Amino acid sequence: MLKIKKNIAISDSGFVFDPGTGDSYSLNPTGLEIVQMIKSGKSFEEIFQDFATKYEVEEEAFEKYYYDFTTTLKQLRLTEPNGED
Amino acid sequence: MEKIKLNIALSGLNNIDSPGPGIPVTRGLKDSLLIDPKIIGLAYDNLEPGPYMHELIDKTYKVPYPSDGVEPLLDRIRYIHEKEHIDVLIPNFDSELFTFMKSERTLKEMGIRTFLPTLQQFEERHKSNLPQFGEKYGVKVPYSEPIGSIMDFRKIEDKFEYPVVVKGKFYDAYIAYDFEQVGIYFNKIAAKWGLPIVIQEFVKGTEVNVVALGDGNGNTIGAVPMRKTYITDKGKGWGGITLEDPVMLELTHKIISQTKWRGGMELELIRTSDNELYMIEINPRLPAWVYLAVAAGQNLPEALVMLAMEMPVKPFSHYEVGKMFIRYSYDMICDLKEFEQLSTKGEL
Amino acid sequence: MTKLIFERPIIQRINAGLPSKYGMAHKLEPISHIDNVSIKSLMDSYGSPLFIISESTIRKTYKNAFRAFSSRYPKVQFAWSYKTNYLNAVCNVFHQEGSWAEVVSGFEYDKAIANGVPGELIIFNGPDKSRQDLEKAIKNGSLIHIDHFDELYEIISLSKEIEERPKVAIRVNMDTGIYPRWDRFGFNYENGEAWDALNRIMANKKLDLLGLHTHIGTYMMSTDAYKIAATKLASLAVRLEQKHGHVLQYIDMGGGFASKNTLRGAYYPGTDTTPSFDDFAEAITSAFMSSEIKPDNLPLLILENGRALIDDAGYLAGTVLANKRLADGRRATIIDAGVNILFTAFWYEHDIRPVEPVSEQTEDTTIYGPLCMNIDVIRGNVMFPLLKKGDHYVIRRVGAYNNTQWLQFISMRPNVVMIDSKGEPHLIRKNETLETINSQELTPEHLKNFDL
Ligand SMILES: Cc1ncc(COP(=O)(O)O)c(C=O)c1O
Repeated sequence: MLKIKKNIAISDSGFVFDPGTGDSYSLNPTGLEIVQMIKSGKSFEEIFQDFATKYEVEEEAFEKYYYDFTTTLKQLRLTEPNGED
Repeated sequence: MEKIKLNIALSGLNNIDSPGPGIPVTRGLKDSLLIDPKIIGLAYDNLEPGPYMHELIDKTYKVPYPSDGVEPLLDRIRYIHEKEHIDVLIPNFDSELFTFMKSERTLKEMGIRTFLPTLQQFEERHKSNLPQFGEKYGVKVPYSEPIGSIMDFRKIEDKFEYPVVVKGKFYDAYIAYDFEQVGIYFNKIAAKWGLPIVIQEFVKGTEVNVVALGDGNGNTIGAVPMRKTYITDKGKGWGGITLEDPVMLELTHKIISQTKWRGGMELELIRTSDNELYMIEINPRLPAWVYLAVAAGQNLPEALVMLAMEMPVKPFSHYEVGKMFIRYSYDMICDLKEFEQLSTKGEL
Repeated sequence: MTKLIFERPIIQRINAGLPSKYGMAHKLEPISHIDNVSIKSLMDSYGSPLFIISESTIRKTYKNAFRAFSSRYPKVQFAWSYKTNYLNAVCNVFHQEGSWAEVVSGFEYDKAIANGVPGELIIFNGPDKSRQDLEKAIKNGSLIHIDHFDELYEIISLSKEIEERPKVAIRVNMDTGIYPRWDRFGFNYENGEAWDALNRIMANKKLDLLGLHTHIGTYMMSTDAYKIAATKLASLAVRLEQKHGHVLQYIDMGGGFASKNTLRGAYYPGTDTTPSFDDFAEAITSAFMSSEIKPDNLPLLILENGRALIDDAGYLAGTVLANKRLADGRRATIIDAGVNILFTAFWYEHDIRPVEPVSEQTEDTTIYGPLCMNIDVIRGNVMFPLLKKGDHYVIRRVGAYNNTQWLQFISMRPNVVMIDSKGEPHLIRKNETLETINSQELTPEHLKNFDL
């Protein structure tokens, strides 16, 4: 399962700091929600369920954007390398 | 005497190795015996040092770039004004001046005062207009002509002697020693800044500068001449010394009185070996070395604020000759929390 | 409970070290309606992409421009530059407002005649006029603006065969202090060629010299250049009167005023830098008023502006086809309008907006058209809201030169609708179909069949 690296600091404002590289990032509110859910160990299905009750979004569309987003997280090396793949 | 409390917003907080004038202007204002300023920084980038220099800058707001247009910038200024009640705004970047000059009236209606050159003064002193400027005001300027293609230069090559200076409309200048080099620099600059390219006579000599302030009626409120004693590879002064030079001052008075210059300016001059002064450029704002003038006895940032407030200002008549500055860099230690706040909230 | 709008999730690096191109991001306000008509509903009826032209914007812009001149100068006439947008509905809005027609080819000339413009109110410009074109123009009493000596002698030769006297002016080019200098059209002022041409016309008793014409360039941001041009033309008019006792009826200053679009690579947006009609009018009329022309002889001032009058009235609306990520991590958004129908994307940084509501979030995005060509870029590097597939966009200020320079390439040219002053949409040009294209083609008999 996808895991955010433990040492990554995420604040409520969506500010992300990677102490390993010194880089910082900002998340939009949707991105922040997803990252927090991933951090709390939720699976894609659970995350989608939460989103579907709160937002106007189809599963297909959500899946597309979810994977695009998590691919970016991987590219930025914010996830554990031996997580899901 | 009771100091006047004023909220002063200013930009140019990039106090890096080729610094903006924001911090030096702030130091002048903090030294003032007349004004008790609250300094509101306007920042474009999360890593401008100014916002983190709390002993000088009281509060910082990020603002959109002038290239986004007048409206987004004014919207942001309106928001800041609601919170801070800005009395005077001092833009310190060249790229902002046009936008703020265009917004002068709107700002005034909001209750924000500025003290800027007029659009005409601003346009007239553009590099590509230098020869006309020189002719109109009787100031010696290097001979120059704009060209649209390198073939254009073939037609006028006879009018120049090598080396010549190849200049972009806004930025960049190279010295070319033959036709081939003109071609190389032409293409290099044109790719970056577009056309026309200005070909300028190369004037050999020592670069000297004047920082000055005009009241808009033709009077010079203050002027201090300086020579850079050390120039970095980016062409910035790393050290400088004030000069006693009546000729430079006279030239400054002449330019200010004829153009009725309003606001701060920096004159870039070349003194040739036969002691003639050529004007290379007018920067339409106070330069980053303005604190040297403050230290030499002319607090020009303070005077500029007083003029903006329409308060009486007595022209300076003296300054200390031989006053020096040496620029240094300094590693400030900052808190990540503050960086987070500026980058996510846009305020610090 | 109504659900919230879903925005796609993003993460962006905060500029670490290098100053970024963007300061504080500002929100791109969506445009959902044009003249109170919903853009989405227009696309539902007329398809996507879709050109939308606002009639009331044309009229408002025209009136504003005309007032700028007529409040400063006694005699003013506009002539609509057909090449800028020759959709008949557009031309006729200008003609209803009082514009004559300005054309540069036999095709445009015939279009103006077919629209019902009287021949004597057509200005015929440009280097391309055939003998037949000239003959027709002379017989109709149109105003022929001579571009070169070959044309002058063609007219002189025609004047021997035709009863009607040709009504002519010459186009003059000159140094107005701007680059590049348009010296390939007309006769040069500085080297005396223009004066020479005028003298030859005066010497020939069969031609009526009515005016002088110039068109100093396009997307001009300098009002000074117009002042210089007006001063130079006025001095020619004065010399004509002094030497030949000939009083000119008009001076045509051409077009060229910049629209509020932003040029590619410009630092400030066009909305900040473009001079107003009042600024241009002040420059031109003050040059005439302070010239040596006698007050009683002040010529009619003609203007042929194109882009400044029509750009604002045109919109191009369409749909997002896809989002993808480029190799360097930047976002690419692909839309259904390419440079084949939005030719002006080559020189403008067009103002492109979302149609549906969006959040404050933006991302560094390159907007591509749908063509299979690398040059098909509508906007490079724009901080753009997070549009999803199927969302809509609208591009502002596309009224000039697109509906005349568009290409039928890979896909068909779309519908054009005009919203009238009451908010009613009218289809003014039908989209092309396979039949439109095929009806122009002829396949030789031996190529009609094949076996695969
Ligand atoms: C002769 C003439 N008049 C008028 C115009 C209209 O120019 P603009 O759209 O720049 O106003 C043009 C355009 O090229 C032109 O060639």
